[in-house]
Amino acid sequence: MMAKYGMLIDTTKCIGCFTCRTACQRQNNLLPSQDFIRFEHREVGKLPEVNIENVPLQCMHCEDAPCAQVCPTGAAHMGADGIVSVDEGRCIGCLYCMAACPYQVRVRNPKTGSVDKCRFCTVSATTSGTKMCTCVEACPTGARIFGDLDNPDSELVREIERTKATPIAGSLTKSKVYYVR
Amino acid sequence: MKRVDAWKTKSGKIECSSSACADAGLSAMPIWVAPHASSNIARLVDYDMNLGQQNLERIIKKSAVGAPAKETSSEPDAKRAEELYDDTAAALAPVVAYDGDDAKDTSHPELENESEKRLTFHLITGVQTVVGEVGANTPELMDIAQKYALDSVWINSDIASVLNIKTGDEVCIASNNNSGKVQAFVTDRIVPTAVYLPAGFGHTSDAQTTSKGVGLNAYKFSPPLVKLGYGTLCTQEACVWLWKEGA
Repeated sequence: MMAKYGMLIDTTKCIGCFTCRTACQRQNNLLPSQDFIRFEHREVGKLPEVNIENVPLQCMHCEDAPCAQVCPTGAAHMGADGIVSVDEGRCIGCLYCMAACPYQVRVRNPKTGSVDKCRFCTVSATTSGTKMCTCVEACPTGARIFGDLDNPDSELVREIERTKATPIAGSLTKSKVYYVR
Repeated sequence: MKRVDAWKTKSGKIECSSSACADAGLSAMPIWVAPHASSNIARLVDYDMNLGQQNLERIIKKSAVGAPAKETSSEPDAKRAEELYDDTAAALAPVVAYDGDDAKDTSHPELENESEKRLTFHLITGVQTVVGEVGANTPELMDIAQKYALDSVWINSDIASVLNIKTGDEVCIASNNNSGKVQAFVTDRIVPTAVYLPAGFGHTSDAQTTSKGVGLNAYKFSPPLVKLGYGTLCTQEACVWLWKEGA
């Protein structure tokens, strides 16, 4: 049975250092302006009792991915492992997917015109045991956990249950990225 | 350049900062060294960056062709370095002396008539996670710095509402030593009496290929003062005026 990969991001551990973003850029050989991870910041409270919440946003790999539904060429598609991917060779740069994504986490490559986004590349550590320079591996505070959502014994599922993590926008889409806030 | 004997003080003895401050008529500000020491050291940092870049290029050339690259004359560089280090020698002396004349600030000519109308803030500076002292000198980090406006000056939300300043507005900052314009970041994470201008911006070295010319250099707003005894620049002892044009 194929795994259903997902991720947990604990914003209470995130210090907003952008390490995940730069690690992702190095691992995926992205341009400096291509960011698969976008940060939102929210201040909570008033001086002197004030804190900041850092929320890294990325592709949620939705089971009902709106981007895949509107893609006219099938470039945006979902694999058997539930990972939403982009076939760059088939992308015609129409930007429909960017308009359809409710999280606005797709980015256009200014050189090729194609659109891309988080590839869940950290899956290699699970499937082949090869750890790469990914957001999960690079995070200095361990704010990210990757794993199989269908495996009740996985650290991912246990932490989601313990922390009562939920998708960032509730039931807006069937997101596979969960947030602790 | 006026020279000051690094060990000589008004009393002829090594003074503690409190008495030196009192003599200078300053309540909490450690004293002096060379005039414009802070700007000289800023130039020195840029100079070191240039020198480092030249050395790096030489190393790359050598490793690429497998033979020593033709060395260019380093005489002008050495001469300039000597001048710069000479300028800052007093500032970097182990024990800092006080010179009353040089400790007096001169008013910014453009602000003499306007300063009374503007609020004064304590200027705080320091590095952020992404931008170090030498700036975000890689394209990836500079993209973060610019996308998230990390060069913005932080201002308390209550004071910002009084001054009609919103996040993203262009505001003016000035001290007796420098002035410039930068975006504002309105936040509750700073006290009303202070503003925070991040360090690592406003560089002028060509070797800083991505960070050159971005933002304002916070250290250039600092007074030309160095802490007595251990010679650290008084980077947190500056006061600035901050206002929004037309507000």
